[in-house]
Amino acid sequence: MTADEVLDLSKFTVLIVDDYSFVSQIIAATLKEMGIGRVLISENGAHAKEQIQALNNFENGSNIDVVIMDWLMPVMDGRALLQWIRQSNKDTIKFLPVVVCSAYTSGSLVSETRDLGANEVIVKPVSAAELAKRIQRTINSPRPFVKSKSFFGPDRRRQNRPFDHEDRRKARPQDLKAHYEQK
Amino acid sequence: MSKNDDKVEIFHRVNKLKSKAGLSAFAKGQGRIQDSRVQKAQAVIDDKEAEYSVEVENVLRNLQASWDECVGAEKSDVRAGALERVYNYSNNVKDLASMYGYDLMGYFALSLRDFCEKIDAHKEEHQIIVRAHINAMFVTLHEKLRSDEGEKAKELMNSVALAIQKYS
Repeated sequence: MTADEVLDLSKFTVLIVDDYSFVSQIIAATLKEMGIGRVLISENGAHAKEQIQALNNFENGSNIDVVIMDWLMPVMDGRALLQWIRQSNKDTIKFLPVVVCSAYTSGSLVSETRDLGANEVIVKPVSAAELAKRIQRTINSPRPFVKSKSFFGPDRRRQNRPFDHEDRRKARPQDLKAHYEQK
Repeated sequence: MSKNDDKVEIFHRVNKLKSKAGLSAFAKGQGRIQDSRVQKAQAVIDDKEAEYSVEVENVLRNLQASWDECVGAEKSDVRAGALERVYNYSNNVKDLASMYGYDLMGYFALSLRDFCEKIDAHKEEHQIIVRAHINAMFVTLHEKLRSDEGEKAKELMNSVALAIQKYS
């Protein structure tokens, strides 16, 4: 494969979860222009949960591939939905890539979403280039998932660079157990 | 910590999304979305901005109506429902304003949304603060103020800040 290979997203399904239809429709139209084959919209976390349960109950070609969610929503918010996804006992749900898309994202929100297992955080205003970048990263460079006593989600260390401070990770090499999915 | 508390599992998964996008799951290179598609997608976002004013006006009118209902409600559950709608409409305005970089509108919408968390709708002081926010948002919209810089913007922000300082 060359560095310039074009992604064919026509078989992809993306679920947008946002209570504000004006915004969700814009994001949906943007994703369709990028070539995403199927874009679904849920108006809150509870509705999204139903859609995810219906489509990702078992692995098949019509699974939802990526969830893009707002954070503050009535009925069931992004926090509750993300927790539900990561706590699922189904691989087709708990490993779902989740992109949180929120306005005026503070540092604490970024930390919270990361600690709850979000893959990416996009701060509005949303540009097509930013959206494309996050989708490309989700496809090209998925991080391994980490499960510890207090966390389940994508490895929070995105980069593998030397770190010359105290290592706060508690696990010793003998406490680590790696699982490699078979093709 | 017990031994079980220390245990960390790492799951290395086959990259099925890459395969679904027509590339080998084990390929080392990076796939990308065509530039022309990204440009067309950006045009969708840009074109929709033409509807910004009408949309925000509608949401602000709904917000105003919900606030009036909240103030006039005698039953606590009706008041709570109306206040929740004020919160959600403020959040919607904030989202839309931030989507298109209308910083001043976003500032007021965020401030009102956060204030909703401590509102007592029967308190006249709180009613003044909410009205100050709503008025400031209508002025921001009708005078097409975008940035939170500039004399008029600062004046509006000061008027809301004063209301909060004096009445909260």
